Amino acid sequence: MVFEWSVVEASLLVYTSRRVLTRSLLSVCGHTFTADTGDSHVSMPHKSKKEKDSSKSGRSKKSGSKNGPAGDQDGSNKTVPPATQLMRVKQPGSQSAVKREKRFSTSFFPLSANRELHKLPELADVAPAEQEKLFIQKLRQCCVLFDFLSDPLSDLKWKEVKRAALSEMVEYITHNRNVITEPIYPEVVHMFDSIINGFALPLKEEHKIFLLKVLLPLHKVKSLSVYHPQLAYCVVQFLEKDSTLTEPVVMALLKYWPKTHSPKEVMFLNELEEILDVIEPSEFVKVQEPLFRQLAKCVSSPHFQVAERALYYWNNEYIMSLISDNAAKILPIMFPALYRNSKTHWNKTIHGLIYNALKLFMEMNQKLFDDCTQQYRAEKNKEKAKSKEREEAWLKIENLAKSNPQFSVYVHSSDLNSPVAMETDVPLIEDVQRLKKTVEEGATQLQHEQRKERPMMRRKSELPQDIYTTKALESHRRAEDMLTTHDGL
Amino acid sequence: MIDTVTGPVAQPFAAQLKALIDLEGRYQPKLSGLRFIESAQDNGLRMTSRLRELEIQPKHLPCVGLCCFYIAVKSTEEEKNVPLANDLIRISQNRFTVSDMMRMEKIIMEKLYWKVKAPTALRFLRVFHSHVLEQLDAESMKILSLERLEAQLKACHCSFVFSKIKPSLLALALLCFEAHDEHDPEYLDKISEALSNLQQQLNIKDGDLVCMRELVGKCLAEYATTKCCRPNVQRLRWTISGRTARQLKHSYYKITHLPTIPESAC
Repeated sequence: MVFEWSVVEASLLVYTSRRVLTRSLLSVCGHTFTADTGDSHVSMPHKSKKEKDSSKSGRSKKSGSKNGPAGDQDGSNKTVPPATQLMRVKQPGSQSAVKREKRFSTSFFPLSANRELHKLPELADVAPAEQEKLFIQKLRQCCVLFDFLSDPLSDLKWKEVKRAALSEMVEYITHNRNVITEPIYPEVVHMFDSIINGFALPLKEEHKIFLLKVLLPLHKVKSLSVYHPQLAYCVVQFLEKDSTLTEPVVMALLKYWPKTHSPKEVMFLNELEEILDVIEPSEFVKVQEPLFRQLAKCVSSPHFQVAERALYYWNNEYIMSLISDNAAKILPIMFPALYRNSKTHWNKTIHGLIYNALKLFMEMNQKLFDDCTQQYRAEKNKEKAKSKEREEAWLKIENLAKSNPQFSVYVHSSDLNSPVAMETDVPLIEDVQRLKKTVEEGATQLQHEQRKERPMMRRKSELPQDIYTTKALESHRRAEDMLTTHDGL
Repeated sequence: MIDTVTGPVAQPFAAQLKALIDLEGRYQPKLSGLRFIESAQDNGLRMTSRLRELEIQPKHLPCVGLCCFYIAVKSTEEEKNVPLANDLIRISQNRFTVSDMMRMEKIIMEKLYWKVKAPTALRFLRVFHSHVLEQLDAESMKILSLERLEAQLKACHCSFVFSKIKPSLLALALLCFEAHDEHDPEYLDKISEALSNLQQQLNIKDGDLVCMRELVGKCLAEYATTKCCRPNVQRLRWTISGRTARQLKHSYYKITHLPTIPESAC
């Protein structure tokens, strides 16, 4: 991690001169520029090159226009400049509800409400342990917006604080190592957005290195959830600019995929779907097999939200068209996971979604689907035969052991009926007596209660009505039945 | 299950065959009903008026269909293989309840006079298949694979045109079609002979059989195509949890954007 962060800093310096770094810091702060920057280029998620009118049919979009830099964040607020709405320098023309462009041109910026800045201590003057926190405070200060254009003489004292802080920070980054630490990542990633958006085509080699060596490893960080939407957006922007980067990006994402079932997988699935939305069919073919192997695992995940999110890919028309063009390779990978879970998943929503996915596959090519079914059944039968063989082998061994004349010396008859002890030590006789007494008392209490009340009927939730479960429940022997006999314990 | 007989083709087979054919005749669906279902793709007055003839309301049609399927499954499968009504409703994405389905089931059973054990094409196929193989020697097990035939039958069932014809005819046509792949003249002769005997016993005209074989051929050729079509996503209902639905928006909408810094301006 330490190594990667010096790479981040190095990268920030390598292809941006100190001036641009200043600019990026300024951009975070929404500072107004002089005329030479020109109007910023507004870009929406780029969908026009493929027929994707309905690709977002399943996505809930926010209606109505949003008014500014604040507030539609999921998760923590650490990532955004403080909410700033009360005064406007100019009415931004781009605020039509139809287009919903939120990217402001540099000359239109709303002013911060509270612009009072107090000078903080110098970074060099504080202990190293405090520097990180101070850096963030200064960064926040620089996010306060002032008017340099129409009212250059306003708030002079506070403007000076901001200017000094900016210079100091640039100096600090330039001359120190390992200063951009995990708490600062959200701010940094936030800045990347506007830089990447401004990259000229064709992409320079150093920019590609930035993607591979900085952005992708940022997916490994524990606090990823704080800045993941920004990171995902940056990655997608890169791919829209240069689609040849697709393969390394997808492979890295798969490499960094969360290993334990967690909500982080849902973030990765969100990002992956956005990547697929802009992917070129020729690039898709290169990554489809490892990608769908991971998707098969997600679909089978015990974490229901992960399974649900993965299955929802099948509602994406563009992805479905990619799949149907390559069904012969993809269906054999997905089929076992889908089929298996169609029989065993407990969750009704997932159950419905799995059947949707299966139906769509069936529609693509019936014979392929039937072949996969047949292959799955054959494998299942092979497995069953193998496990039966194994069981028979164990039985043979057991019988062989029983026929040994020394058998009774080593094995007590009672041991055969009692449950297998987990500990290697035999429990003390007093403990066993105590346990027996507690259990009996508990059981009699249960009996008593059951006679008092009528059996409770579940009303709130429906139990899954699997035939095997029902039968198992019926054949289950009740505690009091078992405890009236005195063997075992 | 056919009792295996060691001697030449015995009377039991002929008798059994006759019984099946008689049964088949009684269960053959009326052409009018079939024509109606076929045209169910169309909407509008035509359908409504026909439905009235058959005394079914249009909105009940999915329920009728699912109930018939359910009844068919229950009458042929072992209990452990029968899916739950609840699951069936969810899978078919219908909006009626299990109690609706139970009521409909009762109505249908009454209309059918509780007779549901019709001989199916599959049954005929198995009967014919083992009968034909008996007439060849024990080595002929590899010829005319039953598994392959059943898979082909399944493919044919997905084509509505085959619902109109007798199951016995379909089974025979499949066998004849598959037998044509047989290249070994020794077996081919014997199989052809067995099949033409069957044809006679079933009173099937040559013309009908040829016609049916052609249809089967066409259907199977279409089935075997490697072409994958784009499925229609929007026809299905996609129900997801609220939590997931809220996370679906594109990351673009989740972040605040800053003005672009054009690269050339460095």
